[in-house]
Amino acid sequence: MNSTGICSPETGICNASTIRPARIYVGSVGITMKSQKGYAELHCHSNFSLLDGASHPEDLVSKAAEFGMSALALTDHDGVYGAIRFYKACLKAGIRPIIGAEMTLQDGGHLTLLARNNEGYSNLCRLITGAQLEQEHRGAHPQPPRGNPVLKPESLARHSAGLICLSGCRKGEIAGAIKSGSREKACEVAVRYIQIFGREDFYIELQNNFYPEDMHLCRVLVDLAGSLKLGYVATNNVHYADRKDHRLHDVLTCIRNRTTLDECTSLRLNSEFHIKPYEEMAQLFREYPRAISNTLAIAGQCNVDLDFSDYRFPEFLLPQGETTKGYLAGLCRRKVHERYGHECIETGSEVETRLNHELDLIEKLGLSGYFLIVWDIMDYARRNGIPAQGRGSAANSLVAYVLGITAVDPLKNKLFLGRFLNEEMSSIPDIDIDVSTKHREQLIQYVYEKYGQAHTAMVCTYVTFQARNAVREVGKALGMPEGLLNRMAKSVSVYGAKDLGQDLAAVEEFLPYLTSMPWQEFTSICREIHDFPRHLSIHNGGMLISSCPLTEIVPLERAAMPGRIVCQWDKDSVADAGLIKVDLLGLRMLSLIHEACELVEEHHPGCSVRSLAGDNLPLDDEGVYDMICRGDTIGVFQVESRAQMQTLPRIKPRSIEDLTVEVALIRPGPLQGNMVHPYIRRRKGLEKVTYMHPRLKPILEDTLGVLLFQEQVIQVATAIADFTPGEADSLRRAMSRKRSRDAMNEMRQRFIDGARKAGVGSALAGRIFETLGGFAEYGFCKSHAAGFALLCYRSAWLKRCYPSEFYCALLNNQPMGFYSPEVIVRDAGRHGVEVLPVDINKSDARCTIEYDKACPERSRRIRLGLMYVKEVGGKAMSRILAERENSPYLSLDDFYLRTGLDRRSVENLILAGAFDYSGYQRRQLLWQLGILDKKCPGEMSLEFSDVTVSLPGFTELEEMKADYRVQGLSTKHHPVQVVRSEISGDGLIRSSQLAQLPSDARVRLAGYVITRQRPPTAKGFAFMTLEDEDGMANVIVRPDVYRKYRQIFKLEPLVVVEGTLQKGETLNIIAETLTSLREESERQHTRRDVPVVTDMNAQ
Amino acid sequence: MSKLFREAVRLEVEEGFRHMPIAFLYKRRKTRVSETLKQWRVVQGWWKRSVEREYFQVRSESGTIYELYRDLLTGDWYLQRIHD
Repeated sequence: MNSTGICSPETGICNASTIRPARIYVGSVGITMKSQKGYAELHCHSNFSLLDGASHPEDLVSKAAEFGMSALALTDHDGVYGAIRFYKACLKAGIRPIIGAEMTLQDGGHLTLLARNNEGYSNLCRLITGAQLEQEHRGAHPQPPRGNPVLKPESLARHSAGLICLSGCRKGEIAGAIKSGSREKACEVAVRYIQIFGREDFYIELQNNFYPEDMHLCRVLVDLAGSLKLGYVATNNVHYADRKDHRLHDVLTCIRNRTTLDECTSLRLNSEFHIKPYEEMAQLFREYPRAISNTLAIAGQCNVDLDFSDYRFPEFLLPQGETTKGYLAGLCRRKVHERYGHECIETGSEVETRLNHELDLIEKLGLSGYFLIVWDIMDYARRNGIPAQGRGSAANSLVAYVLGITAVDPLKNKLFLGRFLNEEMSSIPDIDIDVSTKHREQLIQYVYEKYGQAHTAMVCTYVTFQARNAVREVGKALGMPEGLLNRMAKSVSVYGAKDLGQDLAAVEEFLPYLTSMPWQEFTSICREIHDFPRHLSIHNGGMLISSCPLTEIVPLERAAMPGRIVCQWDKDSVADAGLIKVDLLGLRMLSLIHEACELVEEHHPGCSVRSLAGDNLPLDDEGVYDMICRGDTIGVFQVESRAQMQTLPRIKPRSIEDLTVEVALIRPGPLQGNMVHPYIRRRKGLEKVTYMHPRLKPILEDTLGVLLFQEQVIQVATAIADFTPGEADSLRRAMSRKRSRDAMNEMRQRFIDGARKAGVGSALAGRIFETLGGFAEYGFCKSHAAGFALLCYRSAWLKRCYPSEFYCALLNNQPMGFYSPEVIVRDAGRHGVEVLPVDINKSDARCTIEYDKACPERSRRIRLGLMYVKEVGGKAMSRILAERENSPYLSLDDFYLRTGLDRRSVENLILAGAFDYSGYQRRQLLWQLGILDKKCPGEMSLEFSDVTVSLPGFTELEEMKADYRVQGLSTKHHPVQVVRSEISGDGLIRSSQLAQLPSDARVRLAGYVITRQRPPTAKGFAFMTLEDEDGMANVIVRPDVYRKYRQIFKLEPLVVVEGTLQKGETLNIIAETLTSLREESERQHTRRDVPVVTDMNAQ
Repeated sequence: MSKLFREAVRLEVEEGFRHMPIAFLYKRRKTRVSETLKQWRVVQGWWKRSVEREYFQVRSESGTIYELYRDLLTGDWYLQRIHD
């Protein structure tokens, strides 16, 4: 061996003159190869080899560091999904990160590619992109199924520069040829790769994972390398960090193959696919020491820098002679009049001063082009009637407001710019845009067209394993009973899978299982699988736009949505790589407002509501605030949750500023930071407004001394500890994103030191810091809350002034908000808006308003749309409506023969009441359908007029159950109403009676559960909302009661609650017992043999 | 031809470095290993009945090929197969 660690020509392995010396590199990764004795793992899969790797990238790095490795490669299947996480973890651990991928070839074989430098990395991205998108171009199938990337040899030849190629695992072409006995073919393949990569960059890969053929394979491969003068290198085909992780790997294999451990035929033979230390690898390859030393030689050549912050947005196309700065400034000066009028922008005015300051700052930060691009997107939206508005911290900017990107006036609302822009910011501020969900695709397509497919992609997101899917999928792989798994999944009250064992152990019915060995294995694997990426999905808005083709930076692949391309990084990786994205987030409330306004304009001639519900809507309608103060807010943006409904009557918002506070108040941040009750008490005058330090008064005055907004965190840090705006924003970021204890301790010390210098005592500074820390994680910024408050008011205004249009649009834009359509239908009823069942001759695809000019009262009726009937898809609806255009349907026979829909769809339409108009009851119609189903078009009709049956009609209960089964709601029956007569004993009261009862009265109430929550901020308390025929009732469940009745709380649809009435601004029942209505019914009727209430959705 | 034992035969084995078999006692005769041809490990069934074995295909000095395995959970040796 020569001094470089690569094999010498005398051994017949490799020509030293053709190879690069193993460089001792100190580059941007700043990591020096420690010694020439050692081993670097060059073939390593993380859990971003989806359902194949069984360790997080960080755990692999940590294990490599434990073994003293100086370098580690990440070679996930056909992707670099985990590259940024891996890269960061390596740098932190002082390990050289090597970015690579294991590529899948046309014959299913594998090939290992490692990026030597950034050129190689870009080529790797191009190759992965090609392999991922390749099938799209295969002639006959314009949109083949995704998930089978294939690397073509010709692509490899085009993009081999900067890459080091290893021949692959035992599934590689060369190993495969040897295994099938064809050394000649193996030789041919190797020669092909030599032609592509050259001898110096192509290595024969040796693996010994203790498979029967491994020793033989290594022998032949080394011999082959010798005959072709190639280097060879050992890898361990790592799929997990520790040996013990092989169990999780087996489970992942089963999940991938949708089978159980007992039935799986593709489990690995053993547990040898973990990271092994030098000593172990050296022993395994003792006959081929160069295979070990070459790992370091290769690692020494690899240096990739994944900081892409130098890459910028594409240049905005400017008129000739213009600069971005000048164009942006000119645009702002033209548009500022639209917002403020001429008088407000005189020299020296607040508007002018702030505008100039912002424009200077934007230019200084190099963001003028960025603002122009976002303005262009918003301008397109405006010109095309697409409801859109900037969200988040961007609303702190006057430039954004003037350009029409945001809707909130930052001056009037005293919004603090430093939260969005400051001179010291190290990263680009995101401008997030909320777009009507219905129109979002149009806006996305505009961006694609404007900047080109090669420069534009959606950011991906990873669907991860959390408690519920972990229970279902791990349990299934272990062969656990499906029914039990379903019940467990529904019972879990934690989000993450890591706390699952403890959570399930709190449920008595599961205890016998959980103490047995297999179930302990189950909970242990659920814990290990926590947060593992399961599959790729599209982020709900993030769009990358780049000046260079994106494939130079990150691979692209097809998403599940036809025609949609996503990049392989999620939003965190995109941010960590220094890339800029624009978030185009679908907001259904914008669609709702848009649709409701269209309905009003359509049916109320002369009414220009669209403009009213936009920026020009006066925000002072007393009736609207009265409604909000009553907590009558189902469907109203941001204030419809149970917690909001409880708070509204106490805070009594009477202005848009109050609504801004309300929107921000009921959030995990203020709740966790114990800000809510002090604010309410101060608002009601029950508590004096105080400040921890006089300097906090001007910052917290508007929120009565209570910390509510993110901007206030920054301002407090500046005022108390003399932080610069940049430092203060860093503090906010440290608190809000995956906070680390070390970082927080460091911040705390800086805060206290700064405060001391500024004359604030350490103890007080410490208390102020704790207050900031308790809040910042989930708080809103004020600008965001103010934008949402506007939408809150607009939706409330529509609900009060145009309820039919509001509810119709609400039903058409589901799913959204807190409540299911059944609750909305009943809330509409309580507001005098009747929702009518589906009618085959009257229903449109979407819900419609049945206007009757002659009788305005009848105009408050909504006809349920066909889209609510299950199994009736888009094509079926089009068919129904197209045929109806010709003539109405005369009967079921007529409908069935004319539309030719499948039996299941028609059956569901019958069960939904779509043929009730015919006068036949539903069971009779189902019978007729059975007869019709025997007929085929064109066949001779065989009528048996003498075969008649007399069938009983559906009972109310049957009708309601059928309604729920086929459309998830009933327009006629309330679930409690249909069983009311069966449960009338034992003093059950109705929700409408609660208001008449005194506080502390004992009550028993039966209701249908419409919400159930156990927020982590509520100290173990749980809450449910029950609904009966008359209305809703709030139930508070104390921790001890929850523990006792957890299964009823979580699983039962119909519940009887017994407890004490608590009366204040709101009515609550403090639960003492919970019983399922099924049990109550059984109890009351055991002696009467009456059928009891069963599961709503059961047949 | 090979003889596969339906129930592997318990063996006494003289072990070398890292439990490599050097010799074993079969039918009361000491058989010396001249060469290890294959070596593999099986770790399966952990979810019900764990099997953890290290197999060795060895050639004896007399030229017969044997497949032995060491139970990694107990350390016991077994003869699984003989190739003529």
